[in-house]
Amino acid sequence: MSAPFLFIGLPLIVAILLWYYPQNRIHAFLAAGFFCLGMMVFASVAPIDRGFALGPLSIPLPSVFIIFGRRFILAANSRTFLMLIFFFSSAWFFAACLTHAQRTFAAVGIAVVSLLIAATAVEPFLYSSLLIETAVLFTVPLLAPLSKKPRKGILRYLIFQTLAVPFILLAGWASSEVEINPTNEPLILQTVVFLGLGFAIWLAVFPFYTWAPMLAGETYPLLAGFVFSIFPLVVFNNLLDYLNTYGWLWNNAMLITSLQISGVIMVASAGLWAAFEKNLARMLGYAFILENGFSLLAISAARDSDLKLFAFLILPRMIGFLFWSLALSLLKESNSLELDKLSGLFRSKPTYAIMIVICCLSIGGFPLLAGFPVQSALLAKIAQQSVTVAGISLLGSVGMLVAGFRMMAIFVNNNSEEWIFSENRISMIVLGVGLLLLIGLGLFPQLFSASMTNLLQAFGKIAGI
Amino acid sequence: MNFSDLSNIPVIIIMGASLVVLVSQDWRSFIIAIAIQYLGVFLLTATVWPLGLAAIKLIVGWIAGSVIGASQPNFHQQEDAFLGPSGSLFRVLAAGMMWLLVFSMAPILMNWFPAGLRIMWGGLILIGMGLLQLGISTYTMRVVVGLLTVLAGFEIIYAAVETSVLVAGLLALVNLGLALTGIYLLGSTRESET
Repeated sequence: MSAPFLFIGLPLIVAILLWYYPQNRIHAFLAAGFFCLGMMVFASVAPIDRGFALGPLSIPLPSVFIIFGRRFILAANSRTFLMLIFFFSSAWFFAACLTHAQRTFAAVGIAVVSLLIAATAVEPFLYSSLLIETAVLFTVPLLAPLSKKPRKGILRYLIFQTLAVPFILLAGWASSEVEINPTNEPLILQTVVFLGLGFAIWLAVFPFYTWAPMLAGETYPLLAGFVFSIFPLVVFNNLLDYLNTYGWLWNNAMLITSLQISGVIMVASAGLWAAFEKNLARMLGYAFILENGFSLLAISAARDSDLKLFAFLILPRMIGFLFWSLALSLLKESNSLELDKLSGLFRSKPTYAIMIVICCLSIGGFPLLAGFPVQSALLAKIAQQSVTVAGISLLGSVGMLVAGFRMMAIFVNNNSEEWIFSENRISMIVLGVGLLLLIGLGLFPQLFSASMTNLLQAFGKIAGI
Repeated sequence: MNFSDLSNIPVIIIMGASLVVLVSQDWRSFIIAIAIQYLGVFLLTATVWPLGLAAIKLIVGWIAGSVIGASQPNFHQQEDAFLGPSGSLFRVLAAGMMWLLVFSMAPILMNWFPAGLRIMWGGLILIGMGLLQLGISTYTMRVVVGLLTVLAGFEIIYAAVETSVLVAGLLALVNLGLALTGIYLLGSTRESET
């Protein structure tokens, strides 16, 4: 038994079991949620590379699992990543209990998480793109249920995620060639181009991001939120792993400048489009682009210092997406998600309305909410390098804030003075917890900073910690 | 058998078959053209890989094509913007321009990949034709076949730089997964219509 078998193989086995049992969707979500929670707890205490001592017995738990000559490595420095991915997966499964998400989400969701962990663990790196592509293919039935005709968003999602695979595979080949011949300038340029294009397509970098708002508008919000949260966590982890492995890439000024330019365009354009967007679900897609843009900016700004800001962006993002997509899913059960049709929502579904607005404002970096401390610190850091870049990024944040205030204005706008509450009590409590979390993280951002810094242990050469 | 002596033939096969895949509005010729296209992929890959390993591309391509074909006997393309003779003419012209681009770009791109000219031609033609499919159609079947075509073209070029059996296996898995995803999406289209 090895750590990769436990954290990759076991979830796959559980996913197969959950495909058949239990038939009740709530039971399936609860089973998936508790399993992921258990895996998170186990990941926090697992004696990787030391083994379990059961009295006189000693069961080894090596960090390496070898199959067909390839290695899957989940060392002790992957602990925080594993805890994070399992914790948020469990949160998504528990949230699904409150919504009308299809039963298969439990099985497919765990299989996707398992494949994505495998993608971070596999060596050499180039195999990760094939595993991520397999995970993408697994998500298609979730995002496009049989009863609905597949629309452009899902097709574009499939097209773009598949087109990234060749570039990443070629980047893997080219970088191994550079290792052999490090002075070959054209080959270095070639690697940067392949790598840049591959990750740009994966992370929905401008101009490859049209699928994100389309997909968000077409699919069930909770499932779109799951894809928008879990996939970037793994893809960014892979990007950092790649930069950490090939140090010459981290020192390549062209790559870092490209990351910064891509990031600033993504933040500015997503914020701008969000400000004019009329569909709440599509706004989630723009939030995904904006957050990816900020993450790219954090990586580009880290070369002169450390990656801490990148790590600190993760928690507000995950919490924001979880509760935003949950609130949208609950709202979608009885309402349209078109802003024009949600006038006066505050008087019928105040918790949903507040949660949607707060999540949007948090992602936009509104003061005292979860996104504010890290975004303001990031903008200050960028401003030290380039005031223009910081200014344009700030415009993107302002765009998202405008979207939030616009929503608020429509939700409270009603001629009637009557209050007709039609919210589920459990949903209200859960969303209330989310609200407290978002405010709490805004007021006490240092609470989880040490844990999030641990995430960077896996990238020792570039983390700067 | 030395496949490198015949390496012009697979390029011609690939050109013809991918053109039929792009233009065809009859499902039988569409599926047959996909099968022939993968024969070309196999012949080109066999010039750089052992025959047994190259055969994976052929088998996987044929399975993917037959799976898609079997799932879609009523090949209707109401969603396609380029129907009729004018649509076909447009597709042929677009393919011709793509070929011109490929033949002029291939020698330059050879500086990037240690692959032969014919490998580059075959690979780039398929990538170009696949991108054309993706660009001019929103019909699910054409989108999936377009993606398979792009991947097939990439696999030809990649075969010249990487000979790992596991990569070949995983790419085969991705191809089959794409075909299955395509069937699922086609099934969703039918289900929603009934």
